[in-house]
Amino acid sequence: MPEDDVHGREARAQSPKKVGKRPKPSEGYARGPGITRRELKSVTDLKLKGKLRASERKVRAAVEAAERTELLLTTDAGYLEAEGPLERTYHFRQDQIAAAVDEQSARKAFHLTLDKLGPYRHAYSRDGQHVLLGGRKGHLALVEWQRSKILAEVQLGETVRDVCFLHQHAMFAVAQKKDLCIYDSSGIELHCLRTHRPCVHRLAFLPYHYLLVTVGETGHLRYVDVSTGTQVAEHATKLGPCSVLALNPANGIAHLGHGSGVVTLWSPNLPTPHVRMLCHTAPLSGCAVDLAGRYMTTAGLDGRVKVWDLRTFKEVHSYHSVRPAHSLALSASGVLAVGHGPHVELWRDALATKQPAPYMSHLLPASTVATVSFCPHEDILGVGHASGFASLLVPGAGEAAFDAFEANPYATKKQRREAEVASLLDKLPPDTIALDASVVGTVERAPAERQAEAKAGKAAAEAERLAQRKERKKSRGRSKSAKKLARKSANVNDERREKTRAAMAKRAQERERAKRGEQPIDALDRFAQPVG
Amino acid sequence: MKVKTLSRKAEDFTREKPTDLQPVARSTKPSLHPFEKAREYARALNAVKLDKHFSKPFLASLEGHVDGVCAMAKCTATLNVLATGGCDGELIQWRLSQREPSWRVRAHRGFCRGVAYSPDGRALLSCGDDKVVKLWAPAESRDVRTTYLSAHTVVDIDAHWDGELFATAGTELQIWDLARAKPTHSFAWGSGSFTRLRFNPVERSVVLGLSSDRGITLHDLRAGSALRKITTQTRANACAWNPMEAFNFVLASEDHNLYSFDMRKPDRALMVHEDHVAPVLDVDFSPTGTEFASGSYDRSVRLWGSQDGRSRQCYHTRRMQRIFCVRVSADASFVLTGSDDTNVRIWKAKPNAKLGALVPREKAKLQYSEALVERHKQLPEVRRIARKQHVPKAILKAKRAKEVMKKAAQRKDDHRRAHSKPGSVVRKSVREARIWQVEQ
Repeated sequence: MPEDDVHGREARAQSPKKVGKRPKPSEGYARGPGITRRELKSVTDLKLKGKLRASERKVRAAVEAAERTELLLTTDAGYLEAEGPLERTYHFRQDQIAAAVDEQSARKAFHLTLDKLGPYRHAYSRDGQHVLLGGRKGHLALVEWQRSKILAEVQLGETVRDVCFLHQHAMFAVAQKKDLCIYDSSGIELHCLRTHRPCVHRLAFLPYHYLLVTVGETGHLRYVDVSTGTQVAEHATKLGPCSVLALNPANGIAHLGHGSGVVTLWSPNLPTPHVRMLCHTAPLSGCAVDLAGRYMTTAGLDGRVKVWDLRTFKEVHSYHSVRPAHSLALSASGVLAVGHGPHVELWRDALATKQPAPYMSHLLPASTVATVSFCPHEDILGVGHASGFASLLVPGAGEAAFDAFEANPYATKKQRREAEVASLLDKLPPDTIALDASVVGTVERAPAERQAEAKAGKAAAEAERLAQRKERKKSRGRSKSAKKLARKSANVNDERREKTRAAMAKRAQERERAKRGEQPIDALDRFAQPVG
Repeated sequence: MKVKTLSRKAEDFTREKPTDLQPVARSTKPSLHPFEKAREYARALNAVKLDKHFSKPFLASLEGHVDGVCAMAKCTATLNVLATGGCDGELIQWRLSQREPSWRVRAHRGFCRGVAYSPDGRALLSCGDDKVVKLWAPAESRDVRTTYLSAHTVVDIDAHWDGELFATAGTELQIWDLARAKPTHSFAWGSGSFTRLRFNPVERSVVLGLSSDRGITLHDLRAGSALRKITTQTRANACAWNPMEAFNFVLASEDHNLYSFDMRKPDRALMVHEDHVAPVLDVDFSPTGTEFASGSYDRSVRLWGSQDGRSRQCYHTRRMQRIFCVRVSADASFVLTGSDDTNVRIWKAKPNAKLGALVPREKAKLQYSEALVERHKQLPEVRRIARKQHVPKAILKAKRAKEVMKKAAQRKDDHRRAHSKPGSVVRKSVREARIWQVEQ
């Protein structure tokens, strides 16, 4: 009890009560600036004002509550720090790190030597429990990697160009020699899509839209809805073969890297790219976008790795890689993985600021890195290379908190099934993919001049229609021109006309006054200070 | 070297025993929830579609009458009980949970025009074309308890909320004491005879009476006099007080509309409720005061928000004929109708409501989807689905014809104004236009 008292008093002493002051909701949780006091003041409708005030209060409470739930998160993020003046984090080898961490984590670092059928491309499932390995020469393996359990292993006997999970590990797509095939988790071929010939180079999947994105030899970008099996869109990039594809996780935009050094941003809704950026002077070799959709990193054969701000589409800074990087990946916490030659370099906090040295590095002797990608919910980097697959420990790479309703690493079979149904019900139409993801829920309003233009056009059309209208032929002399004229100029009191007339008169008066300008309008105006 | 990696204990995120609920790890970080607005909208759209999909309002049809059902009374003391009077003079008390008559009697010669329960639910009053008012105690016997002889035909009856008095409508509006054979008060204003009356549930000495000369009269028992009389363009067939805002009442009019009035400001209707395409024959308020139900000669029942100009729901079946009486049950969850086809029907007040107890998770889910629809109700697609009503072809056609007529009248009015001296033709609001005069 006395201890409690002490703590209680301390707590009170640390947080003096500020009457009427509310802590500002942090930027991380707020969904926009909200309504300002001045804006609220200008609302004349009392009922609306009350509603707005109440909703604003609710939003603020929700943001505060969301912020407070951080207290309940029990898992802490990982870290790797150097001690002493001579230590550098990039000098630590994987075996040293594995020896220093707990046993469960140490088991997550491993290397699979598969030197016959490589180089290997790989993909992690959304819950991070499964990894899919695709060897160039036709070896396909679906592995529950934390339990070292092989769920399916297939020898295709033809080229495998890329692999990709669909919404769950139960289905995956493989870009094969000519066609795109879909397999289930036991390795049975479910579909073979023959419309993607001559071949697909890169695959990606949009889980909320159920869209499989493919790009290949002809440079055609295709979107296939995997829930209905229909092709939603097909865009010709007209920029030659394309083998660099990255999806922006925040808004679903596809980033394509081309041989001319150009990166184009695509959605299924537009036949032309939303944005076209000249990023490198040499062919693009890698591209990655961070979780919040704010930064893009690109790698080119010119040996540069560049960081771009996706709000301004400007370069933030660039890094030099000894050999041209062939694979890039960004983790949930923003760690950048660069694979070049036999090396994997990891850069922490390297997006907003330029770092002088990498965070970590790893060498795969006598091999070449093919793909790097971070495992969701873990401090793990998967590296597919010419002679196998390596799982590396990267402390601090993963997001500590996860949301079980998005992707649950501990899901039971039943939960997975339920999640599948729920996600199918929440499936988004392709037109929700746009550069600005927050566009849904806003009022679509044309600019004022365009509105005025439309209004004027409508008025002109109406006038035209009235002018063109033929009068009915009437009998007994009622269609004579004099009668017609009399009818037209009859004393018709049109309310709208009256109003327009009054408004015009008022405007003319105002114009007149403005023209007079300097002259005092009434006796007191002579005391007014001239403006400017 | 200081190092730590993410390492979660599986037991923190999985359940301990098979009987436990699965724990759900949540994180509210916006970056973990991409497309949240779009997904919420998709959910709202699904929710409103499912609402429509599960809209099955018809529950049961009670068979027992051999002629049309022309009077109905709900018992405010017992949910399970309903009394109906038939065009053949038969009076039936129903046990709603069993969907069968619990007590029936040949009460009147000719129509049984009005039925009313005493507030305690023990006594039942009925009146008919035979100029007799009868007091029954269905729980005790089949025999009539007391008979009150009226000088003229009695077409409606209502019990006072204190339990000692009742009122009848006929050539005059008469107030009776249960213990006396003769009426204690009688009211008349003008030449019309009274067709309908209702006691105010809160200000209990105020009676609202409708008369055949298109009048709506307010009477006060304390003063023993009429307060004011509103005369409308067309006759009102029925009226109901709002039980929560008891100064407001709603009229079911012969001109196909319903009119909400504030008794303190009778020169302007609070709202005109337009959707029926034939005279509205009965109206009853839900005990919440936020909704009411109306039954019409167009063979449909409509449910309205008390401040809505358009109906929320339209109930109809192929077999249901002209509706003579409508009541909302005392728990606000059912609507009861009596129609010309001799049947009493039970409907759900919320068409997609699930009857019976709900599992808490199911309840939470329903509340969530309700909130989603409420939040997105202004969006065109959601609004379109939410407002969609399926109505019979006859009603649809009549509705279109009415629209054409309304537009023509509007056009004519515009032309009249355009060709007249400014200010000489005053446009009257639809809320005022149907009121002929107000007398004090």
